Amino acid sequence: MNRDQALKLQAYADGELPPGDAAELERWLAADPEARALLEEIRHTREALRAYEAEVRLPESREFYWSKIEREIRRLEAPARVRPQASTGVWALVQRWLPLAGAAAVIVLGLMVWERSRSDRLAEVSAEFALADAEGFTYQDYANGITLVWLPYPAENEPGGANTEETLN
Amino acid sequence: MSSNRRRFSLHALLLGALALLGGGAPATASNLKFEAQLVWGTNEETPARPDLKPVEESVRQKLAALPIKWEHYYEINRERFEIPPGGKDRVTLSEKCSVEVRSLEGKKVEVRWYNQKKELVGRQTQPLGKGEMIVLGGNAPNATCWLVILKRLE
Repeated sequence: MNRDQALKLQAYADGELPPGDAAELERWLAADPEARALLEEIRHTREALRAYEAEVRLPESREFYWSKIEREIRRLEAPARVRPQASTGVWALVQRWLPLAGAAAVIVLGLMVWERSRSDRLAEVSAEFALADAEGFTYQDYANGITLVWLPYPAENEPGGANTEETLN
Repeated sequence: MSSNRRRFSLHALLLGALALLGGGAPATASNLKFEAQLVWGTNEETPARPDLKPVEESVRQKLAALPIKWEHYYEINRERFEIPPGGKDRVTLSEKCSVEVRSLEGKKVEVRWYNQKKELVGRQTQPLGKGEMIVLGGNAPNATCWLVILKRLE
């Protein structure tokens, strides 16, 4: 049996032969025991492969699998990024400390402005207790916009009298 | 379409410039509006007079932020008044308490408190912006206090 005959047997086993060739091959099979033995072996082999081939499942979808490959190709083809060279010397120091120095300057400036406005505001406030027999006090709550002036003026004289009822009248 | 949009932008620019110019011009002088309240502070659950009402919640919260720690504040009287810039007015909150407010330059005001004998008790000079308050207070009998709250409304 030559190679072409063996291939023809293979095609017959796979059902790929045209009807005319298949009839001719069947006549040959009836007359040749070697050909029948080979056909039998082909069928057994095919059956064994079909029954015992381990099923392999990819952990990801086919699209994702190929997209990974595509991405990797693009990554390799992309030109390498040029890393900026680390600055050296005085310029490096300036680059490193300039933002910090700027932030510190802004904070100091803010504190100066706040202190100035606070001083100006305090300078504009004056309290005087005409009838007080001791010093009163003034409390400023800038957040709530309230000034409290507490008088040490004797309670009996203000704004009511010696008892609650008089105080309210 | 494009020329319309350009024209609109030009108008907006002109309006903005006018608004800026208007902002720079001196504002029309309007009266300063104030509200004066006479308030009584106590730790008692019930007020001395049943007709007294607690002060508004916003006022109570502001008083709570001050270094005075009475638990309840009741409104005895309230007067609203207004004065022209540079002018002054005096309101009587009770027979024994009146307040005079004088408008000075800018937001500055001078507040004077008078007692039942019409004597000057104290004087406070300071800037007072819209919504800001000056609270004058003192101790009263039975561990209570009185407060005169002057608030600038406008």
